[in-house]
Amino acid sequence: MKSNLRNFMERPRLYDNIDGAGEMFMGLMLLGFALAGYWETQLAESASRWMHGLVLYGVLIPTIALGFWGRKFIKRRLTWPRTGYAVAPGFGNKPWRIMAVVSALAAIGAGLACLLVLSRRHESPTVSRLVMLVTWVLVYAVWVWRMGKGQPWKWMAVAAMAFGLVLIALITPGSVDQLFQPAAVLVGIVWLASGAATLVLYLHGTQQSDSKPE
Amino acid sequence: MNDQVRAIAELDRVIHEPGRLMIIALLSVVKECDFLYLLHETDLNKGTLSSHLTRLEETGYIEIEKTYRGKVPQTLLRLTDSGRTAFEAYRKGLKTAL
Repeated sequence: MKSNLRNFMERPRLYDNIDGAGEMFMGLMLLGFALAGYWETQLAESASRWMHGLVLYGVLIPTIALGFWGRKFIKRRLTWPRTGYAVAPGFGNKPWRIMAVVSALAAIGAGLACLLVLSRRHESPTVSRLVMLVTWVLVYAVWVWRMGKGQPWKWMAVAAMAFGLVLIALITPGSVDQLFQPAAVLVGIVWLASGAATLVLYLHGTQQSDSKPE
Repeated sequence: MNDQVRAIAELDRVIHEPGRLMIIALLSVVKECDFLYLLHETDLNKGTLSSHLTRLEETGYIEIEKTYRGKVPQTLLRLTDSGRTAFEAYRKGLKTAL
């Protein structure tokens, strides 16, 4: 069991998403990917590779810019004037942490890629669809577990995401590619809505400080 | 004096005060933060927080930078290397003492 001091020292990490900006950024990214994917499928088969690239980056770059500047706006105009400014140290002076995180992500990515390739080779769309859905839910559940302490209602969002993805999987037949877009839209909406709810609750529970720093 | 008593006696008294312990603990896990953030996280009042910060600065455990964010004055706070070393030593000492 962690000591009170260690729990207390986790607060700056949780503070990073106190306003839900991180979640909204993720939601926007996913919706951007889904939108880019949708527009790409609408292109004529004869469309050049350049055209596909243009559509992809034409959607993704503004989405990333919106997410980046939106997050910055929320921090500067809403969060820092209310509850203060704090910058997490990132990985600081502990390079082994970077190595551990990169290795873990690479291992998970490689494992999922292997599963997808194997399921496609054996013409088993069910496995690849399942892998994709479980990955979406797992990623969000890990985020909530790490960043959503003190906000138990976020587990309802995890449950809603899992339920919605199962429904989509049942309704949408076919390969994992056909499932990707509706699943990404749902997952993006859940991230975005959860972030927006966090922001509303934060604004409701705090007020702009009128005090001058000492 | 046995080891346990010595470990208790050797605890850093500057850090051992609860208010300063909270400040140092928070500063040890951020790159930098401002006065308002510490005020919000520690629930101390302005005067108490300010006096703790002055004490920590005098000891050389933290550095305080007065700056502006736009037109708003801002007090930035960082843990120094000696502050970090002292905090690590304090945590080890406390574990030994307990």
